[in-house]
Amino acid sequence: MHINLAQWLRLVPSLEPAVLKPGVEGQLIVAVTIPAGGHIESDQPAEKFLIPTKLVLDPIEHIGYGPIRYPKAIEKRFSWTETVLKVFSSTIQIKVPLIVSRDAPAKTVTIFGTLNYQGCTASSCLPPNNQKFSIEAKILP
Amino acid sequence: MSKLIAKYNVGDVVDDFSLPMLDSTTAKLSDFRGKVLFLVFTATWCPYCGAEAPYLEKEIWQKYKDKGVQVLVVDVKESNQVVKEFRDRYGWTLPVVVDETGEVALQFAPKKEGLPPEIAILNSHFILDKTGKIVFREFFALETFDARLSAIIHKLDKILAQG
Repeated sequence: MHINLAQWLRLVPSLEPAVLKPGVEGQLIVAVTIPAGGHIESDQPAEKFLIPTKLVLDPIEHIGYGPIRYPKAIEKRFSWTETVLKVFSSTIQIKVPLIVSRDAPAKTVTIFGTLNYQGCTASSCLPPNNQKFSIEAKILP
Repeated sequence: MSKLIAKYNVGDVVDDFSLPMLDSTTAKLSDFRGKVLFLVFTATWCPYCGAEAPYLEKEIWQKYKDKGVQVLVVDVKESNQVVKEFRDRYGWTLPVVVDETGEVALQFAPKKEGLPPEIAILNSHFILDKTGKIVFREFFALETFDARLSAIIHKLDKILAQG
């Protein structure tokens, strides 16, 4: 089966609550689905030569981003290294607090983001990839 | 994994190629005729390559360079600068060439379903005898991968013992 390297992961962004309000904290949740049998490195890999997963959000007017919260990594043993590696597999959620400024006008904005990662299938590793996503956020008074 | 289809099999003489080295000089495969050549394909992002990197320098290059063995690392589809950083990180003194277009890697790569050749070739090892003939070929397979390169060391010892 051909591997689509550019879209190897499935990224589904969502907002909590679905509608944002000025002065109220919301949350961006990016659900990341890794193909069965595969994994990506965690945000804090166990070896210096491994490439960490990193979520990057484009700056946007009236919305500030809090510290990005990655899930706890799975500790996994591989036959090729004595180090227990810290990886993400299956579906994970990466969460980012959204701080909407008090003076934000009522409007719809688009949040753009990129997930930087390096993944492996059950049999091969794949080059590092930057996969983009976006979500519309409605700000109501 | 040795049953994978590739252009070159054990017993074949490899066509000459030339690639830039990290210091901007050019290395030709034919420059190394008369020596046993250990050829390895790598990329800086590849976890298995990173795991193998210290052993390439310490266990192969340092221990065999004075025994008539030439090591040549071929980095696949990356820039010179990225490869220099990788070399410095591992303190490599071994020779590295950069196959920025992946053209040479394509010649050696096995056909692996779903994978482009520049990925399928990574962590592959070839040993060429003094005439440029392939005497050992090992494509990457997770189930047999050994970052310590034990099979390579065993094979090099055997080849050197045969003269």
